[in-house]
Amino acid sequence: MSGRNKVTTPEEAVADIPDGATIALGGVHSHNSPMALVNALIRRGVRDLELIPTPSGGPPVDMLIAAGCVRKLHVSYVGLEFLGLAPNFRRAAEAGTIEIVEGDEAYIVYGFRAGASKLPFLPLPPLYEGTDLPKVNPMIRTTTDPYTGRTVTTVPALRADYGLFHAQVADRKGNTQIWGQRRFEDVMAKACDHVIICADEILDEDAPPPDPRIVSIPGAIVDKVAHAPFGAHPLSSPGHYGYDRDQLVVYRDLAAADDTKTYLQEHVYSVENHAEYLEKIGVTRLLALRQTFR
Amino acid sequence: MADEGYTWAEMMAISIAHEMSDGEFGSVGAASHIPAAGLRLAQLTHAPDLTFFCGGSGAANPKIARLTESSADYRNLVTAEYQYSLDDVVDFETAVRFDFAFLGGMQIDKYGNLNMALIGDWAKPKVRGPGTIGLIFTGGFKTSYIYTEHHTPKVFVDKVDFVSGAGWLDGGASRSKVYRPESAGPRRVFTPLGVFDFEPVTKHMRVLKIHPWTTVEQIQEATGFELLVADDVQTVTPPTAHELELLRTRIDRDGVLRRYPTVG
Repeated sequence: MSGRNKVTTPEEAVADIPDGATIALGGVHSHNSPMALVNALIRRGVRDLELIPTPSGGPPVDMLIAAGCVRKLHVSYVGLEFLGLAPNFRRAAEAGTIEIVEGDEAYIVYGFRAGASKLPFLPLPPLYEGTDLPKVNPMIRTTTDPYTGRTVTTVPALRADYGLFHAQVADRKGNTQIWGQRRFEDVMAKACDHVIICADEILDEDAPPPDPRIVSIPGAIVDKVAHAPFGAHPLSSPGHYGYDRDQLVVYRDLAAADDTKTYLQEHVYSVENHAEYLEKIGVTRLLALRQTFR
Repeated sequence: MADEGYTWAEMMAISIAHEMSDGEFGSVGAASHIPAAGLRLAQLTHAPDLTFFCGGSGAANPKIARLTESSADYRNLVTAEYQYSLDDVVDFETAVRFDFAFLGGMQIDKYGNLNMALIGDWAKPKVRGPGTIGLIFTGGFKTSYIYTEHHTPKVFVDKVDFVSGAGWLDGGASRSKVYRPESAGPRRVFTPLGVFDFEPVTKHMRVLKIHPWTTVEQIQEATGFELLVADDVQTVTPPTAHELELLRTRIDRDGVLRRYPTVG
């Protein structure tokens, strides 16, 4: 009795995500995003997504916007960090073609914390007061603290239909190891109805089990595991490979020139699946990104 | 060492190091290689018990000798003392546990209010910025340090178009009416041109120290509001050979800071 095998391909893993779904998206800046799943979603042409990235959203958010997949975006930070502003996000926001929820780190983190426990909201001490966020985000509200009688500011719970996260290693049951970064994907996963993992490596059934202290998401809440070697490329996968700076610069330059379609044609639409994507990038380039410390 | 010259980014990191106090506990955000280098330099000189969280990496006190352009780089984490979570960060930010944070903005005004969201009107922005990220936590840090690589009148404006993070709000005592008493406004501003503080009564930004290659007049021209000038305004001493050696051999071996323009 080996139990259910949740391992599949990136393409199959996102095949059931409907138009209009709410998506929680993992990854911090140029690191640890489930790019193989994002590429598959774009290739499928999914529409009207409500996207809730981590507080530090990067290239995949900008790509999903460019591909016309996004209707509504919860913004804490969407940019290319050391490569500047996110050009497609910027254009869409300036043209008003996507709906923006003006959030921030507290809005996303406390929102998902509340969502993970299915709490209705969380109250905060004076932080938003004095800023302009409550003026443009009607979901930042106030209530009376029943214990002290003081007015407190509240942020609503955030939940998503699907959570898409990159991992270094997962097993057949979905027990997931996410290395590096800030260990927030585990909280986000608890706030999602369905969790889809994009894993560089699948743990062999006969391998010795990993130290459970490095397993960050329990298989019990994981629906599917997409096996995607170099599945975060061109972003980094901590402990496995660094980010592909040259390709990120190509993306930034094309996006800034409002020619993201050339990038998407080359890297997403002109290939059938993640394996073809990797063939296109090439072994030499991929292996040069490998990291050997863990 | 002085014969080789130095860049303004190296000078800025050194000016940051000089202002840091031993024993404090703080954080830096994204694209923070200049503050991170400054904090490392302080740790290697006068502040061995300074502790900082390095952006999105999860790394408390990274010791990497190769300064990373992304503070979230994994190489920071594998050289750190502790792996923090994002939950740790917001807990410390909300509970006023960080002594300081380094923060930036696409606009910074005369009272140190910060804008990372947009230029123009929210409903129809002229320039959409990346977003507020952790800036509301200016109400949860004991104090903050503002830094920018761009000292121009477009960055230093009379009034920000959108308050992402509150500085001293409208100046004077206005901030203390809003936030918890243990959370004060910004203490210093670091730019390529110098070091600034906020005049204690009006909370108006003030020139404190100028970098060796500029003048108070040039700084004023690069600023979109009238700056106050401290009575004892000083010109910063150029980097010492020892400081440059530490930066180049122990902190920034790849020369990330040396890619900036040489100024001295």
